[in-house]
Amino acid sequence: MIDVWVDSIIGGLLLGLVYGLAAIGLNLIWGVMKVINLSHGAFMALGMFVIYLLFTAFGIFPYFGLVIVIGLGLVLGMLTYFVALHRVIDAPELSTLLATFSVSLFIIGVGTFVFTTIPYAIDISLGSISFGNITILGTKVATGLISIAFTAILYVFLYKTRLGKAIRAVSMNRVAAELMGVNTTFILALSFGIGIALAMSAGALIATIFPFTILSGGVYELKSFVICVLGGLGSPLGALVGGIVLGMIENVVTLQIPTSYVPVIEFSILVLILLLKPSGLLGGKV
Amino acid sequence: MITLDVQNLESGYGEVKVLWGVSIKVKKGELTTIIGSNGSGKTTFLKAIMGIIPVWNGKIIFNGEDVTKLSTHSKVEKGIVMIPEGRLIFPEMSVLENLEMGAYTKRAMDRMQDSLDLVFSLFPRLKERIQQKAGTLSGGEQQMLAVARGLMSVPEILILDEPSLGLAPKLTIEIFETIKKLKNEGVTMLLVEQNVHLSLAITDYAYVMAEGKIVLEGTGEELERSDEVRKAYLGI
Amino acid sequence: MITTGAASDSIHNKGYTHIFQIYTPASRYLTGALDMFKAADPNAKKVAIVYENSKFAKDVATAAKAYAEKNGFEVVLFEAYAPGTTDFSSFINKILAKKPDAIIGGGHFADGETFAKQLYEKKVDVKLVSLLVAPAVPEFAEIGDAALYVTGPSQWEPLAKYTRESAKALGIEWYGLSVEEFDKEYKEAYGYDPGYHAAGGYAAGLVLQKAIEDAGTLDTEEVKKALEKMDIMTFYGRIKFETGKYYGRQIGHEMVYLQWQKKDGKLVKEVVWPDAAKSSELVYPMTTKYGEEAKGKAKETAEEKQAQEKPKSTPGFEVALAIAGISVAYLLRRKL
Repeated sequence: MIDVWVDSIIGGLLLGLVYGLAAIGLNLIWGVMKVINLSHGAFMALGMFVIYLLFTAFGIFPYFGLVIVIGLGLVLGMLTYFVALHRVIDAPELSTLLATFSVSLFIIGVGTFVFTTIPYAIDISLGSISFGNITILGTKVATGLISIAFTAILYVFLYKTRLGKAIRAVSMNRVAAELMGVNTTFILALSFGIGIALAMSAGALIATIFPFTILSGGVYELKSFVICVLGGLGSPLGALVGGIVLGMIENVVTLQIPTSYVPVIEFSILVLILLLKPSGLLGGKV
Repeated sequence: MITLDVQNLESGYGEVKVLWGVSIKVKKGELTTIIGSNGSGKTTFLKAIMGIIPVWNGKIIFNGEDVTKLSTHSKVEKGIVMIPEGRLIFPEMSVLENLEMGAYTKRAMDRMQDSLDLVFSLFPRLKERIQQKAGTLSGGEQQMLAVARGLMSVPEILILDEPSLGLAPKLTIEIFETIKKLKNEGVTMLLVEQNVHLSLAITDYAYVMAEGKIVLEGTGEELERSDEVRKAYLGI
Repeated sequence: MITTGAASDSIHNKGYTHIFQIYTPASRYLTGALDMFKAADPNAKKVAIVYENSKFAKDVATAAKAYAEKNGFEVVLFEAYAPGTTDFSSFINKILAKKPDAIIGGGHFADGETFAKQLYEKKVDVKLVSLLVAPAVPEFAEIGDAALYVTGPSQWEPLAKYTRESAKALGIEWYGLSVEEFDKEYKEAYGYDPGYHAAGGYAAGLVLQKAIEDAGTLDTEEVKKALEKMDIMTFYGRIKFETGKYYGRQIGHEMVYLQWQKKDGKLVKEVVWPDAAKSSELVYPMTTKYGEEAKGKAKETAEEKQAQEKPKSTPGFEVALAIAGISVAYLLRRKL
């Protein structure tokens, strides 16, 4: 019995790290731009399909394909910013909400046309390690480690580089940052690009462990929202912790209760946190 | 030599016109002050100069170059630096990071070490708190940090918007001491203040603004002696 | 009306008196898996039922649970997963904790395929896995060895060996063409193998033809009486309708059970249940595949049980008559 627990904890941890990575993308965009990115899930789904196509059409091994996904995410994100968001960035939040929602509709609409809504899967295996009933899949370990690595890189970027500091400055006060000579329009576009790149790479990583459809992003988008609230908006580390909490709930708590209660628990947590500690467990600014 | 020459500036918010053709000149190495009561359009005027709000009409000439249409950050790159009202420091960053942000532009980055030396000689207290989060500083220290951060940008002209706002009298005097020191260092400054008495005492030249227009101008002494100013702003 | 493609029980307790069902209804979709399991291993007791939270799968699972309990099984896990679930780890962990001998359930294709794949990745040690829908679909082979020895119900398979002899054994009449004839003619007409949808549609026409022949008239009420009395064997299996509370429900036809096996290194479907229809022996327990060269060994036999019939002839040409049925069926299937 104990081995089942250990297995669940490891599984929850590894999955939680990916959830965390996805949430960081959402978090960064909210923190810097005060935009609730409703196209988050759609871009995750896009990441899944990009990595799938790279793998099936060009034979690029998914973990190397990630580099391309990130580059593409940056470009697409920045493009999306200028096309859809730039003109409404100073408008009330409803406008940006609708703008990102329309981007999401666009991606999912085209995606459905091209790929239909049937499931796809990336069939790779990195083997597995077993001790008794504990079986850890290589692919899950890889996604967990990559998620940690990406979070660490993002952290260093935000705290140690000039551009990263500018992003944090913009998140704290855009006018002040502009008055320091920061091209805040570029920084906003860049932040959106990074957020999208993170969403897409999280999607790509998830695609290496689970099957997916063009609609799969929605589920993870919801999880990302819960994680952001849980971990505190604007805190990358908080998002990672929030992700792990969610992964644990899904894998460990369900040993004792029916799995169908998971959304109930998740959203109860959401409401409770909003009521009791709106800044999140590790609340704070970027 | 004229550093900043603003000609017939008109601007406002949405449909509402706030500035009705404001013209001022700031001479190099001098301290120029704009005084005026609340709502007279002083802050709006500075925002329009910096490009934070759009200019409707008029021209902004900086060192002989028309910069009216430039974006805010490009103006900063040229050396037009503003310390905004309410300080707007970056609260979650350390004091040092705030100063580094001040030196964000290429031009300023090259001279960061010199700037830091200058800033720390002016504000030794900031040096002690270099790793402290800026949000945890006291109000006076935050204002010093804001000025220091402005200096890090290596300003050709330093624009100060109500630096004494919300400060205790003792700290207000300290801030004016600092401004005086900067003036002696040769920093060109445009100061907007409600504290008429203290600012007129140190300024080279001053404008009085009311309802979006310049209604009076002259040297600090002239204005201090003017009946209008005495009646309206000094309560004498 | 003869419906094909519609497997819901609840169509038939609404008081309609002219709807007759060709498919084995949901309530008996997985009960055969339990019979098969019992036959293969009379000592096995623990069953986990994990199903998709949709009307159809839930009906199937609920009926299977009742049947399991009535037949002395212990249902150690009975739980639904949300439609579209891609991560079954929490279910798998529970399964690992409860150590069942068999897992039955599923829902649709994608979830069933994923579930089977993740069971394999986690090397879940159960003796029998039987899932709805997915194993019956050829694409199930995509998941490779994860598909091996997984079983699942199907309404009909070209491999099903319903014959005149099996009809005779049951003492009922054989009607219509043989399995081989149907298979051959279908391939000639359409160029690919018939699936159970096609067989069901054809059977619907066949049944209607038989009913009209028996009635000797096209009068609705007479044909209805003939259908009520009908108990025949066809290439598609036995056909008999309930006339009680669930009027018109199919009670003669049995699901066949497929198992993915390896032949010459390739994954193929074999019918392993019921005995009357089987084309190969059930490989039991399925966990043999985790062994190094699991492949060809350890075949245990499921025995007993019959159901058969006997042939008769007569090609049915009334596919056209079934068109209405098929369209209704399609609509209903969409819903499922």
